[in-house]
Amino acid sequence: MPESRNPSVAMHLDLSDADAEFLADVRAFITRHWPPSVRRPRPVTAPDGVPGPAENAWFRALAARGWAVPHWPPEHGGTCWPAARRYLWARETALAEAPDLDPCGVQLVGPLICALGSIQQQRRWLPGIREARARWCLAWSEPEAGSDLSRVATRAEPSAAGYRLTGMKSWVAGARHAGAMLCLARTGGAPEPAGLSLFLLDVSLPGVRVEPIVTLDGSAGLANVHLDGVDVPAAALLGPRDGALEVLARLDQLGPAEPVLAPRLQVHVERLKSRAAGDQDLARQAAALEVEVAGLEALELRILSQQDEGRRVPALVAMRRLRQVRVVQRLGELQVAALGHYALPFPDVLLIDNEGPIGHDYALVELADMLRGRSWSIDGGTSELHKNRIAGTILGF
Amino acid sequence: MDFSFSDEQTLLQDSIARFIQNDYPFAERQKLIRDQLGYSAANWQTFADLGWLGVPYPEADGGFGGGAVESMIMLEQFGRGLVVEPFLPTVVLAGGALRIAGTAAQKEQHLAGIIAGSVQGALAYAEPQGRFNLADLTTTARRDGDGWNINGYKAVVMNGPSADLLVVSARTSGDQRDPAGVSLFLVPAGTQGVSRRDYPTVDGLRASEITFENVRIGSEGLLGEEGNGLAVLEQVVDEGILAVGSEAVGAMEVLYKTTVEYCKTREQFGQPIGKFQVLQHRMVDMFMEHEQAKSLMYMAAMRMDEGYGADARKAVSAFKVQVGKSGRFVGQNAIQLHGGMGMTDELSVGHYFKRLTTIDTLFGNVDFHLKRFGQL
Repeated sequence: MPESRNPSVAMHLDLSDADAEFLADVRAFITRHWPPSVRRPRPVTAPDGVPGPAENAWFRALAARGWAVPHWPPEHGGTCWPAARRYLWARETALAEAPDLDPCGVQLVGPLICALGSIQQQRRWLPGIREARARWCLAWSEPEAGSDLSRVATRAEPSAAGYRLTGMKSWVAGARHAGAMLCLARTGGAPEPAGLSLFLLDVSLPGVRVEPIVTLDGSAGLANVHLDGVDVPAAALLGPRDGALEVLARLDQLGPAEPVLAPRLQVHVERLKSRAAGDQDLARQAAALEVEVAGLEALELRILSQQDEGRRVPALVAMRRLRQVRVVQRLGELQVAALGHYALPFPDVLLIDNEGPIGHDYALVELADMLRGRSWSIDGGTSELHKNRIAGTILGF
Repeated sequence: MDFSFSDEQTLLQDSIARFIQNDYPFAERQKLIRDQLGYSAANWQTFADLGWLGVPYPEADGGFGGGAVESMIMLEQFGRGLVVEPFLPTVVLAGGALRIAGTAAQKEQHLAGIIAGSVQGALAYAEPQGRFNLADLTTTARRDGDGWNINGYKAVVMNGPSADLLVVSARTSGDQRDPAGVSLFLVPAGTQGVSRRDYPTVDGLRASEITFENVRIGSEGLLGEEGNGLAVLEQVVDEGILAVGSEAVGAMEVLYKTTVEYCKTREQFGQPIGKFQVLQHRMVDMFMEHEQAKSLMYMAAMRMDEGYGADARKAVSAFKVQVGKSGRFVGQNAIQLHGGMGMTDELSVGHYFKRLTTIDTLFGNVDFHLKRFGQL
């Protein structure tokens, strides 16, 4: 027989007093360092570009407050926030449309260096990431190695100094403005799939050449990165030699940030709803999307909460990515639908004058958002690969 | 903020899961739905003995003080077993209306019987013309001396054939669809002037069409305030949605897992059909639909436990939208991947599908709740 009890001891959404106090701190911090005067609609998908002065001031304020790298281990500057605080932080910064930290360096490379790097590597690279001095890019893919990274052909040959890297990397996001890269290269014998290693290096090294790739949205957010005999020290090797594929396979257990996207998406859905007023069909589709955002938010919260318990369900993590992709892409479609004819102008930097927005001030941003959104189901593993991963986890194939 | 169950909640979940596993085989369930009664009186008594029928009521009313989360936990397990015993109409709906709006005397008179398993209840709220609009009522209740005189007709009253106690919505003032002027009444099923036509529903449960012809009840039959019954009804129905939605989440879990197991063993073209990637990805989609509904179930239950207000209503409607969509996807594809076997009455798959289909309709389907969600 069930014991009589107070049902609110578990399974609840209430904030503790300490969390409520934290929320007040966060709001005050945001109002001070990312004031309404600098806020503007921020696209869901990250555009290519360098942070402006306002963004850099925000990043510096975060570093000074000790909030730049919340998810890192505490000895490297992490905050050890429990789920509730990580969620509140994501929600409040989304509501203020505050800029994201370098998605590559802070979210992924930093945690990898914390987990796998030597003390020297941690001293060499982590402060620059934490203080937002250097942006990072991932030089993993190649023309013949897209979803299948085991086909990487770039070679890292032993040299007097350490290693000499030769090859061509492709679809490297953010390479134009990056100061450093995490590069995947072959240290073992070809053509075996194993034998890959990870290297940390400066983009400014002799022999590194970045060649922009123009993408659908008219920007040059991607690049080919040519490595023409780039000499790096032995200390550039991150993690086990010849063991990079094993590292990448368990990447999401190595402490990357848990992306909380729903609050940000909700900001866009609210904007969409206000523009859909008076159009019943669009309003209905916006409501359907809002239900999907609510479902995504609940999933993101579940995963955060499981992390607090030291649990991790890989199928749910893969599902989260698929749901995020789905909502981002659907949002892009509905934003374009809401634009009407102003979904046509294209922000081609060469052919467009520089006299401000055409039509609505958000039109070009949202069109670009829709176009860039297509890449969400491709980069970081295609949606089909994520489904294979879930199939493997839940079907046992 | 916390998404984990307490020890007591886990215990409750485990005890029902064990009952389903050990004492509720599908073949027995199929016998029950073909019997006149439509469920097992012995099972119902077991539920009472185990304390399950009292879980959602406050301790002061003789219950165990559970909330929405406890109801969710129970119904999810019932959904896994396709349980036909009338927990929803008796405990959640009729008992829920009493819990929310009943006077001390009314609760004392009726809740004890519900908790002990001796009283069956039903919520007679729907009418033929009203579709999902709870305020669309032609049934009337007129003052009659000290008491009331009820006339009208109620459609598809779940558990109508077994109910000892009917909670009836009727109009005491206003026009047919006015939000104001709706009142609730407690009508013993044997009262003179109450007549029923009983039938099975597509999911194997039982329902009735009920006619009220000059049904006279005393003043103690009014449940809640005269004319303000709609708010109570809306809350009871939202609790009902959380309940059937949780059932659907349990049913979807069984369906996707059953389908995965089937595709591992069913061989065609010289290999298990689960080796085909197109089928694997379909099953991944089924898994995700189930998890998406489950996530929104947690949110809806936690919002309901925070107190019944706009946030709770919105979370419930979001959950119901998802349950409708996901239930359809998971149910249809479970049949599809089972092939011809999925179409048979013999396999459980079709019965889960039929339950999911009725759940989409109950208390308002996807379209209805999408509209409500957008307006909240």
